[in-house]
Amino acid sequence: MISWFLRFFVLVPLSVLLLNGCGGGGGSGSSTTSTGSVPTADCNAAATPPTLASNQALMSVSQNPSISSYSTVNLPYVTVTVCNGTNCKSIDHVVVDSGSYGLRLLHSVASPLGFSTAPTFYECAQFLSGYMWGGVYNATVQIAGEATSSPIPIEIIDDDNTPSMTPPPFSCTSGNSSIGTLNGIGGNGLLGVGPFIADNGNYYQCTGSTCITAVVPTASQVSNPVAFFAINNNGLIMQMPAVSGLACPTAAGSITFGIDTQTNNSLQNYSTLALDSSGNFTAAYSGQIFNSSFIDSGSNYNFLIIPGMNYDSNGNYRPTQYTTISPVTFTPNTGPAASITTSLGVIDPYVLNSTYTAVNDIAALGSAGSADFGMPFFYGKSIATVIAGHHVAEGNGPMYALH
Amino acid sequence: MQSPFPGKILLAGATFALCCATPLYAALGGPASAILNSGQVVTAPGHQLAQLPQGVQAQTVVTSQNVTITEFSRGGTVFAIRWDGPIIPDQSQLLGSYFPEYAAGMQARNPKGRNAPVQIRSQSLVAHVQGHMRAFSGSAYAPALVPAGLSVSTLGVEP
Repeated sequence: MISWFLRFFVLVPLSVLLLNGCGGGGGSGSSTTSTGSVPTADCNAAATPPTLASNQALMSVSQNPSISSYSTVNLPYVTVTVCNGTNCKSIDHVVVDSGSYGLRLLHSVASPLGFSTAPTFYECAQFLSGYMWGGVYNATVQIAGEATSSPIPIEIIDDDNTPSMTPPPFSCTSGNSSIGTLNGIGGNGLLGVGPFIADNGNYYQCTGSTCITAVVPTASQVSNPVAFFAINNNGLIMQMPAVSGLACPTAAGSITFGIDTQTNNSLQNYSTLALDSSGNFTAAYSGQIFNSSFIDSGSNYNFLIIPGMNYDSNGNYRPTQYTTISPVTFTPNTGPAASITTSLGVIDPYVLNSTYTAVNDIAALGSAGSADFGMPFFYGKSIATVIAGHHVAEGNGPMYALH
Repeated sequence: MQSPFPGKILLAGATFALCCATPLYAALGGPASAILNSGQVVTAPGHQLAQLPQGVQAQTVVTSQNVTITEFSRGGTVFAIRWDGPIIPDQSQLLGSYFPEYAAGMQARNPKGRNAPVQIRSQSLVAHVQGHMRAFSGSAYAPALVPAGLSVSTLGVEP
């Protein structure tokens, strides 16, 4: 399969370089879309795992072998070890999500560690596609050579209807579907490692089958485990290899924990981008401005509005030719004015090999005011977060830095 | 406009008919005065914001979970709502009798991923939800109730 498309598209990379260089030529900040050949990358190189230090974890995109009903496209997986007291379990295929906060694990996977008695607090973790209902429990979280210095609140998602757990109240389900399942997540859990600590979530206290909204102190909320590591606790760097514009079967990258704490996590040569209190910045392209934009490894598409481009009833953008949008500028809503200029590619997903899981350049319909730069944006880049409240030489959290 | 989910609305209406608790604030299509039952009233009910078109009133509440909800009414009936906050508020309370259409739309959609923005566009309801954990926002309006000649986007409501 790899050789098939390399043979087919090996002639095109020069034109891609030209494309990337010409988008900004319109003057006075005008942005253009241009069509042309598909960028290529070496899928064998993309699939090769990097050499890791103790503060680095493998972050890989590949088909989840436990899921047969769909391709686990652009779901970056990491292995997490969770301990309840001295009882520990290594849990693979946890999805890395820089757009949420805290570790959420399926009860069906985590149950050997306990977590089966009725909790003090329940949480309805909300996402645009559905909710994850479960209990809040304390656990030690270890990723690669890093571990939380004490147990922290995590959510154990009640995917197997544990008798001791109360089912979700109507105010949680509220017309939505549960995505707190293996198929809903695409993995055994979700690791929220965005640029804040607590999730500010939707909590409940339940008695019998009756649940009421609970205001939970920040320290008791499900929280980003990275912030509780001993030393490398101020942020992280996600690095993914470049993949072909026609996708690659798999891609292997890394998460490096800590910023400016070791030789492998400096932000020298990165471009920084301050974030507002919502974790957002302003993205501008094609004459449009989106002031609540964000970067999110947990979005498997880029979700954004692309003026003039066709999309289907499921929201997939389907350009007739490979299209580059350039420049795309990121400017902060608050803090230092430093901005970032980048570009986006868009390809019709229906021309891709449907078994390939590492797919850049796919986009789906977004919303007014908000552009979501998802996992497709991560390939070929190093993307760092600095957690709110932390200060590094290059700036103050919350911020992103890109290289 | 033809509803894209004609069959499912009836089904969802039956499913959810018994669900909805008394709204804590005014619901879409309901009386604006119901907002008095809610948490913290930030903008006094009936207050006429200077930039609003003639006859349109806006009132804002902040819920106990820090969601800010602004409701737009004319003649005492809420015709549009916008909100933002760290969580997604209970849509059945926000949308009132329009909620079954929202729920049907949610069940019919085929999101491309966990964070695909919500856009429900049926015969009598337009609703949007966007954002991410800690920073969600959304809006909804009933096209039939919007005053003639008024563009809801001037109210910060996504058309």
